[in-house]
Amino acid sequence: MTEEWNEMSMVKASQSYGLLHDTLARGGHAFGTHAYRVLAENAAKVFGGSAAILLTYTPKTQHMVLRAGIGRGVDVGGVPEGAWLNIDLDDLRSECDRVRCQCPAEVCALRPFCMLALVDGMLSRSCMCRRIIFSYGGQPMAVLIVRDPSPEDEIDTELVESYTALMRLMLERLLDPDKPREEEDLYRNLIEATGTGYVVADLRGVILDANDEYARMTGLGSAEQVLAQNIADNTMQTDKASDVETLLSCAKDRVVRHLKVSFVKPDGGLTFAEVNASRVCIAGQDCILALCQDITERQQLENQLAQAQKLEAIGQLAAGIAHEINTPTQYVGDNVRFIDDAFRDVLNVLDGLSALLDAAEQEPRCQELAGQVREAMDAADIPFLTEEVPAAARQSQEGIERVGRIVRAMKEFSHPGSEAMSAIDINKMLQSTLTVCRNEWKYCAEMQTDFDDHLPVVPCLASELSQVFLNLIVNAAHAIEDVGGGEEQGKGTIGIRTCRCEGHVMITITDTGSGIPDDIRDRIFDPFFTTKDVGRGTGQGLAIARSIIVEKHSGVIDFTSTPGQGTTFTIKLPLCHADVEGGRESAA
Amino acid sequence: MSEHDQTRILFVDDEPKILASLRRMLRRVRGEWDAVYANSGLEALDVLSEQRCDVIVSDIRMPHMTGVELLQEVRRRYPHMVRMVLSGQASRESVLGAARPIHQYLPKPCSFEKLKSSVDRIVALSRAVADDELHAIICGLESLPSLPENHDRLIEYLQHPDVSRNTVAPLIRRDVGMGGKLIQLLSSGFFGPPQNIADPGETVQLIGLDIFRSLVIDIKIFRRCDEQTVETLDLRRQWQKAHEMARCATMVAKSFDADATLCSAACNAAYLHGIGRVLLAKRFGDRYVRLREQYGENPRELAHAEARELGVTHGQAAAYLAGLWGLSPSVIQAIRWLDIPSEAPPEEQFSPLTAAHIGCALIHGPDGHHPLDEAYLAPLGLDDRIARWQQEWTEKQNTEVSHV
Repeated sequence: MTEEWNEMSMVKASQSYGLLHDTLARGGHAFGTHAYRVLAENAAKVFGGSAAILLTYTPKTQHMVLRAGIGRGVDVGGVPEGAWLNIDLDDLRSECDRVRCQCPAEVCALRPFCMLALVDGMLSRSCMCRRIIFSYGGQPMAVLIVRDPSPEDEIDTELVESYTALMRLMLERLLDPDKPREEEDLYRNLIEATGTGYVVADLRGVILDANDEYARMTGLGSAEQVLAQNIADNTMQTDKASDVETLLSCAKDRVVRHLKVSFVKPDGGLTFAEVNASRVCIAGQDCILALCQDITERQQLENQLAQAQKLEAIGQLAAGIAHEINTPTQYVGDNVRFIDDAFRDVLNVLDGLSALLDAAEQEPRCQELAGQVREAMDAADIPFLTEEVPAAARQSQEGIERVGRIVRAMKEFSHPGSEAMSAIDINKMLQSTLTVCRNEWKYCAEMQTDFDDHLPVVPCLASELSQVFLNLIVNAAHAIEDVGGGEEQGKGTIGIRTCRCEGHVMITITDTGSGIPDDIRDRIFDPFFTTKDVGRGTGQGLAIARSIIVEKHSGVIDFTSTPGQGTTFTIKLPLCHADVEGGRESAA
Repeated sequence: MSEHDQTRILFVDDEPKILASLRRMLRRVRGEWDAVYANSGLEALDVLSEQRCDVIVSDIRMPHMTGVELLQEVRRRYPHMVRMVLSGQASRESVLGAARPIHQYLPKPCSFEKLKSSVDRIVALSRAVADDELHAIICGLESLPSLPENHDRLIEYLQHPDVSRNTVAPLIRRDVGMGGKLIQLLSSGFFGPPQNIADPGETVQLIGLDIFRSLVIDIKIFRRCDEQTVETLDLRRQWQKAHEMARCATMVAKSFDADATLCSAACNAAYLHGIGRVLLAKRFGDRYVRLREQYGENPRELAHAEARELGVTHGQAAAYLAGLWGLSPSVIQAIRWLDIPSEAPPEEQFSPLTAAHIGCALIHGPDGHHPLDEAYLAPLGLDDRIARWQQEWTEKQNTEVSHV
């Protein structure tokens, strides 16, 4: 180490070095203009370094200028504050000169390199670097990558080559964004005009170029911000062979791949994209070109359709089951009723019999027979039967009535086969929805309903609207469960209210549940947004609710929420669709 | 139903357990009802060929002959019979065909009380219609005659896939032949529990346009009548008046702040009352025309003359039909006594009858043929309101005219 130290000349402090020092010392910060920073950051990523700096070399004056630095949150050689960084500049200079002279066959090298930190004039610690020197537009550049050296560590020269080639490509875009590139502009405009997301990445997935649409889809803001990121970082990881692997494999197999990819935005939202990936050669390097079409909306529609089909199937099934259940319900109910009636009549007879028995027991000739009958009556425990048989009949009757109510509610809820708008009694619809999903809320919440008896009928799509109510009621129950509603903390409350207000019918569904945190309020109606565990929510309930209320009924859905106290959803449905008020005749 | 004191009912169901349980239930009405049972449609027709029955209660889905087919056949052969359905069928589509021949639809499970009260109400109303022929006319009615121009236009509208219910509603509203049938379907349990109808045009919306379309096009629930019938029965004027009366009665009920059920009852009563005259005209022909010419000026006298000469008033005939259709007792009451409310069992307060009677008087104007029944209205203390209603109605008419 000491010999190496002797060979090095010390770099004097400059403003740039001060910055570098700050950056490295703090770790995790970066400086420099965006273009250079991207290169440095990318180098650190590609070569597995903990930090990287980028210098440019001006041959004429033999000046080396520090352009950018990035520390990746690692202790960079333990450099304390106020330390100097020492780089063997002479060596760098000669290397840069050498690269420059060999133009146009630009050569790069990845060599071990030593960087030292001096504290108060004393050598504090050295850290090993790797360096890459390459030339861009006649100007050599040096990238120093701070990386723990290990003897067996062999740098893949292919990797270096691909990196530098692509760096040039990026630099061109980054340093001279306004440089006219007519042909390329044409293709770019073409792509932009199709509204397609466009991304070029190297074979490891590092993004070299992208457009704003791609950045929007991934939720990363602008195209520049996407550069040097890895495609994999904001792509959904699934259990099956990851989309990214499939995407990257297209470069190896030289085939065009069509696949569906889900991008995960930094805020957790999802974008569904259909991707066509192919292998292209840019600046002599194999790259992946992916064109991404945003299909989130379509996916949403497909899901809604699937949901609707499912509901329709359930509706048909429910109608069939209802028929199956209604028939036995009819005769079981009638029979129970009959048994009850008949038993009362038999009891009347028994009453008379009792008196007869008393008399018969006095009559010696009948005594034995009377005794037997008395015995049989005692064994049958007539007083118990008098009490319990009517009670059993009554309870069975109640039970059968309840079965009937549930079947009716199920039937009403599923509304098989009505596709056109029809006038619906919202109160009744809510009531049957509550009956159908009673199992979801009865253990955790008390239900309080306040229905306006004078509520007018509302034109609506019955089965879709009842689905909205179902979703909101089930959500309310889940929100209450989330705060421990149920056994431990006592039940919560779900309140459902209907009323008429200025040409609208208003429905509010209030719960005393966990509330909606402030930071996700803007997104609860987004498709596929969910805070529920897998299997409990698909993130589609509220999105579908919104689409049904707003788009299909020209209504309004909104909410107010206090975290920890509960949420109130409000739905307003217009009473009629503008043209004809209350069925009054238009001038036909 | 005058031939025997007991009401004879035929129950038809392919599920023997249903019949057995009904038989057991009927033990409670021994002496009142006389029941016969059939396991299939064909068996039912056999039974009917051997004995006269008053009421048939049939399931819909049965093998070989469906309930719909059976009821159609029963209507053809025995028009005097009351035709009811007791079905567990849950989807409306599967029973749409029954919309034509049935009087009432009872969904399974149906309590015996419900069945009993439905039948008893009809039987009680039928006693007022002693004339067998009139009885058969009323019971045998599948639908009321629609004006040919309205019927044609409706069919034309419905050919258009995107027709709106608002286009169809005015047609329905002005034609009791259509509006009446739809009110029946919505009151008879065919479309679930009865709903309030404060405007016959609303019925399409309540049924839903797609189901309405198949009812009209496929099932043909409306009957287009010919021009001669229109003339004979004076249908154009009758239906126009019914429409106006319904509007006016609803207006009166609404401005009295009556609840939706009362408004609906008033509307239905005023709308359907005039059917009684059509029914009598159909049964008695010229005899009735002469009677009307003689007493038409004064509805009270006409009603009395009808009772005297024909043994039945048009109110009674219409009330019987309303009872067959399952309309509520207050509607039936209002239809029965609309012309002569002071002869009705006394009422304490504002009722559908009040609104329908006032509505009927108002559309004829203060000096019209339809004077207010002072004896009936006095105890209700509505004097000052009536003048206001008259004014309100006139304004409503005027705005309508200027609107059109």
